Amino acid sequence: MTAAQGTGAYHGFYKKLINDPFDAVDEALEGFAGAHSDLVRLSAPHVIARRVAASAPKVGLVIGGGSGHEPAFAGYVGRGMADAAACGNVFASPPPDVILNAIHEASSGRGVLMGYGNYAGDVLNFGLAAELAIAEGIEVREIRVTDDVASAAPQEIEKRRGIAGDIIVFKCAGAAAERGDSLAEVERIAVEANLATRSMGVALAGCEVPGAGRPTFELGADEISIGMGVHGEPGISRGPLEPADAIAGALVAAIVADMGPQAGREIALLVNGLGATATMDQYILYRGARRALEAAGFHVARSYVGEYITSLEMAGASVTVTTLNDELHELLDAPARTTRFVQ
Amino acid sequence: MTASLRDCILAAADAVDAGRDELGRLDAVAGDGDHGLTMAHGARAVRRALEENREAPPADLLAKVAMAMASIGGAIGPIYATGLLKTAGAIRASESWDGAVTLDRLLACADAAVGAVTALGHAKPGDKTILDAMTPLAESLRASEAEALPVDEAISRARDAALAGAAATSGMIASIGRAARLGEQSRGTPDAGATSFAMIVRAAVDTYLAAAREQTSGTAR
Repeated sequence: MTAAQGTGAYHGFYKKLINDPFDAVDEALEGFAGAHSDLVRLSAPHVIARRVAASAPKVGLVIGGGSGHEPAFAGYVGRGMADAAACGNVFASPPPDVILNAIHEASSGRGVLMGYGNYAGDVLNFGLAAELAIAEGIEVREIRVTDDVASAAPQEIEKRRGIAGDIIVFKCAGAAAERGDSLAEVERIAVEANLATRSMGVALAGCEVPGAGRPTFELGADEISIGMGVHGEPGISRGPLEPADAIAGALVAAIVADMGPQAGREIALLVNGLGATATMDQYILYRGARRALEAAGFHVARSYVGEYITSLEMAGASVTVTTLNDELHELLDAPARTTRFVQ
Repeated sequence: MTASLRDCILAAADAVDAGRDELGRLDAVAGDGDHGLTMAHGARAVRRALEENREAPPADLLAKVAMAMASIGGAIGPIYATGLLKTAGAIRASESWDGAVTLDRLLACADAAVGAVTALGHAKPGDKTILDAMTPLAESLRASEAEALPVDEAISRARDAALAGAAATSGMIASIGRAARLGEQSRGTPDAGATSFAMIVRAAVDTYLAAAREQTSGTAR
């Protein structure tokens, strides 16, 4: 951190609207809970829970991960999706006690499914929290989202990280829980949704963890990084900036190649902005991706465009494709009322 | 006795704060750049634990420090928590702990910590993780015990082994954790977790040795 220059403001690499970097997550969560008090409440430190619990006992869905990805994960707490979100520090998994508090909020006697992106820290902390909850007699299962095709080869799918595909998986699992499915059923659906979902992203410019004083990575003025993760992990290849259609084509090609022969299938298409890319650009990327997918024989049955899981002020976007069957289609279409996901 | 465990832990917390930018920079090369800030959160939580447990005996104090580190989350929180908890356990297991620092006790603590971190993270030496600083420290203590070196000399060597181990991660390719996804790109920069561990060890050991020297010269007078 560079010294404050007379004003007490935080002067990092990027201009940020924060106070003390140490307090950024707490203050953001306080703001979030205050702004959306009709839907959620801050039930314990770093835990956002539904304002009103479901009327009948149901399988609980706990989601979570590091902060800095707003509106993830708290933005998906509400009817039809998650019951509670466990929020970590910036780009760091929440600790076991925070996750356990979220599990308590979500538990109404029919078991709890934990959903999170597949990262080493999350695996450790959610795993420990599950052990603590199971010791208390709460039945707990988990789904680790692994949609990012850039992060590992197809034969090592269990090593892949979770990015915007989180939203699709949490939506389907949340809808299944809301309609009264058993824990085993909700888990099965989450697994299915995860296997049906693939993503790939592009970064145009980096982001800075508050207090770091420097971006997590830097790109040249005309340079992009294909395959970056939502934590600013540098991507798998760098190259010059290209037109949106070319980038959309490259992302879709990688996803389609990974899916294998599935032409003719109905799909959901999600274009996710990473924080600093204009909404206009997101729609241009969506158009390109949709055209590329239709050219490959897919039928786009449902679309989402916007900032669903960001990386602070990173510029760029990702494309997520989910192949739908009747069940996933119905669950994706089911109503939801969260701060970020309303349908 | 010389420097208290509390003094050593405080020095380590200070070192983490001082190294915050460097750690963030190292982590930004192959990871997400949060390591400096996450460890600084740990330093803050650890100071609070020291403040709230002024009378705690060493093993209990280490257990409180372990819980403080657990509270930071991320991958590093549970790693420090399990390592410190097993270290506390090794101290408790050591008969009639009287505060005397002996080589066999130090080695038991180091082995317990290495074992715990290995069990949790499934890394092995060479994977470019914190273990590449922890393991050389333990092996150095083992060699010193075999040579029956004086404790202070052994501690000094163990510190150097941890520092050298952390520096050597620069030549490795990350194969586990978030940094692993970059493969070859991680070569040329030391691992942030190994580096912060070495920072902590250096600060704690230097505090201990400085106090020991002071006591020796005081005795001589």
